[in-house]
Amino acid sequence: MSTKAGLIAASLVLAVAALTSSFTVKAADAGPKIAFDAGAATPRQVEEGTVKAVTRDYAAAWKSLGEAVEQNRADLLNANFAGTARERFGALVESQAKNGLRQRYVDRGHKVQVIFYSADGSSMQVRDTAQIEIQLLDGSEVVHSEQATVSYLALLTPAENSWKVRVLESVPEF
Amino acid sequence: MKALRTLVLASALVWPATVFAADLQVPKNVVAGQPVTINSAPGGTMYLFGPNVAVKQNVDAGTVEVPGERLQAAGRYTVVIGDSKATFFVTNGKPESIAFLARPSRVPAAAEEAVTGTAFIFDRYDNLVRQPLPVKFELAVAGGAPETRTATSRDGAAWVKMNSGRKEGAAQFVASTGAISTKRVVQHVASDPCSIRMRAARGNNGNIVVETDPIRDCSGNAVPDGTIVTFTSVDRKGRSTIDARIKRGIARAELPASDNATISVAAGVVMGNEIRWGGGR
Amino acid sequence: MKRILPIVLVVLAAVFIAAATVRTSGLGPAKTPEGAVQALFSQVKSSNWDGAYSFVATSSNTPREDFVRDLGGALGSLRTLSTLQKIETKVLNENDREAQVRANLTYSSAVGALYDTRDLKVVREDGGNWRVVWPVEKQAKVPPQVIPVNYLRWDIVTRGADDDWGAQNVDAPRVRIISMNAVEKDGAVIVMGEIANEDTVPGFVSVGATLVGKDDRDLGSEESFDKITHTLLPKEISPFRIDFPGVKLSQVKSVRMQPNSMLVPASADPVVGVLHQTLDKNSLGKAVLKGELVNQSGQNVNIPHVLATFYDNSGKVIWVSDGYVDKALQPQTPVPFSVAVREDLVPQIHSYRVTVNSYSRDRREL
Repeated sequence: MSTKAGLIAASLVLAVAALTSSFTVKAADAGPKIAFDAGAATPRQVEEGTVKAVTRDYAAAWKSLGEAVEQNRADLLNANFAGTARERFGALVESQAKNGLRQRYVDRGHKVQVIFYSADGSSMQVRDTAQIEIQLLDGSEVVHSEQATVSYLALLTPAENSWKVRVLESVPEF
Repeated sequence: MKALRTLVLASALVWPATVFAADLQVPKNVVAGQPVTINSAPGGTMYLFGPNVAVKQNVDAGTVEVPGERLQAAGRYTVVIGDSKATFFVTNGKPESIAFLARPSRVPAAAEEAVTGTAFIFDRYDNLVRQPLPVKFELAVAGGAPETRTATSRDGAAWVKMNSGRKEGAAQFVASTGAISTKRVVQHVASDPCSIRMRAARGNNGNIVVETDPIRDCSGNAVPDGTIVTFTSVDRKGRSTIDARIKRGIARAELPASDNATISVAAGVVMGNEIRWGGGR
Repeated sequence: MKRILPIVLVVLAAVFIAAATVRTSGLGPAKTPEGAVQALFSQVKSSNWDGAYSFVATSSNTPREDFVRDLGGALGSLRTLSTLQKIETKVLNENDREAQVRANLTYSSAVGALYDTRDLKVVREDGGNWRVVWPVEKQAKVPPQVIPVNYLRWDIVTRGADDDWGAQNVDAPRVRIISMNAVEKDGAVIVMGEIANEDTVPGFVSVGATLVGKDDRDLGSEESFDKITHTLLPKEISPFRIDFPGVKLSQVKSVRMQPNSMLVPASADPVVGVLHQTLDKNSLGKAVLKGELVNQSGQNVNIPHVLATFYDNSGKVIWVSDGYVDKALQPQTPVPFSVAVREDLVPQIHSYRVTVNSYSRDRREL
């Protein structure tokens, strides 16, 4: 390869790398794609502003969960998880770190349906069908990888400025 | 100690385990907190990933046992031993506790569907109990007849809306299923005054002393002490107002002396009677 | 010549400085009625009470302490926390022996500027010097007595940080905006109305408003700040007023109101009666709502703050104005107040309501 061709190729690689990096950052910043359906909420209808807030915060929760289990940093969970969910994922991160394990989620999106929104607005239960690629790693070695459709039952409660995930359980079926 | 050396797995099978190149044999049903035995497992390094646990352990070929304390959280688990893999679900156990959200903490007496109760049912490991269960909600003020409703839980949640009682006081609001229950307190308070009646008399210093009858809501509950009652007197010198506080059930104030005044009384947006003092009295 | 000019300038500067100093100290006898008033207040401005008192006419029969209390304030009143900033005088009439001089005084304080207008009699006394007659209203002394105060006090026990999820906290008080009106005055949009505490517990309330423009974008958000009674007891109603300077009503599509309430510990004390309220004119001929405040409790109220709500004949709130009273309210002692009323609204005013915020320094923390 001539020097000129080499420079062009290198520039292209850098440009593609820059674009890819930029896209990834943007995607990561926004969190995974969430299709939110509040039409079946009972006993209270979900207000438009609440739909926006919960969609934003639920996406942020999944993003922080993915980062926490990949980087083994439990502190990343604090902003989006509370109660049992915070304790469980915190314990997961701790035991991963202890054994030199990690997980990597490639989150391909969630279909979220609200099944319960309490009359006083203090709790919301959702069913989430998630498309996720899960990689289980021992150090940097992938010991298992799968594309999975996983059903989750989540319970969210409002905190001071956001909604937090209090329960997040994967279930065999709805 | 073989059990300790060996490992983990468990298994549920309401949901078919994901099919891998070589599947491990895991039980069809795993209830939270119960140990699981995996038969015919190959030896090597075993990995177990669950909702709150990640284990790496060497195991011998044959039977692998996963202790119950590693399987307390309901959810999806993945076990990998060499090239053999399996995914299984741990499901909730029996109901052990109720997280009960009762709102509001204070409610006016005799208000329709003003009290809401939401119960989330958990097993001993804080997993939602997904099986439908009857949940009984009972709201009662001491000495009054309780109001009871039953709702069936769905995915661990049950809720009701109830009327508040007619009597003021600290109402016990109890949610129960089977032998477990959780109690909250919903303070029943008097509603707006039903009517306000006042009378006026000349005080020793010539001022007009106004005093209400005991102020009650339409259910007969005493309006709480500290509630503002405004007395207004209008005469040729102008308008005089005193925001008195209810004390021991009545409100009292001393308005300036006048020979011809119109005196009125109100609490919030509820008006009371009017008195013509002096010439027109 | 080159040397003489600087010397002359220095001498002139020294003369001017001396003159200014003499004027500032103002302790020389006043040769004019206006000069006497000016001199008195310039001494007040520099807190030289002896100097100020030297300009008080002996015929006033006013003890120095009463004079100092009248101008400097007492009992932790707002006057004790304010400073005289500006004095404007005008001779209303004058002859050889006496004159009447109007003094418009501007004080600065933590709650903004305070204005006071006094029409003062000035007399020529011995030696032909002018002095100011300073009659001090004798304050009725409250006879020693025990005033039993057994009003309620509300304390709060809140949920602990380690309580179970679901353990309920005590709710914030239910408050409701019972009326609202938006008008344009003096180049500002003004949102006003009334808010009621409909609960059985006291609350700390505030009202926020956001103006939404024709293009559905927010034009701005403001809060009621001090034009509201923040601590509302059960069933108490407070006016509120929120100003948006520089906005025209024609720009506004809608107003988004945000009432906030918090459960706070509070006391039902003190009760302040507002007596003999009338719409009148002050000495400058301006419309005012005036009356008397009477503290019916046993402790001093250091800084009373008066809020007046004005209604038209349909009961709509058409204006909210307020004013701080710079005298403390002693128990059972009437203190006059007046708040400004917009001249253009006087014909529309059908009724009004006055409420009082009270700040007491010595009251135990609520």
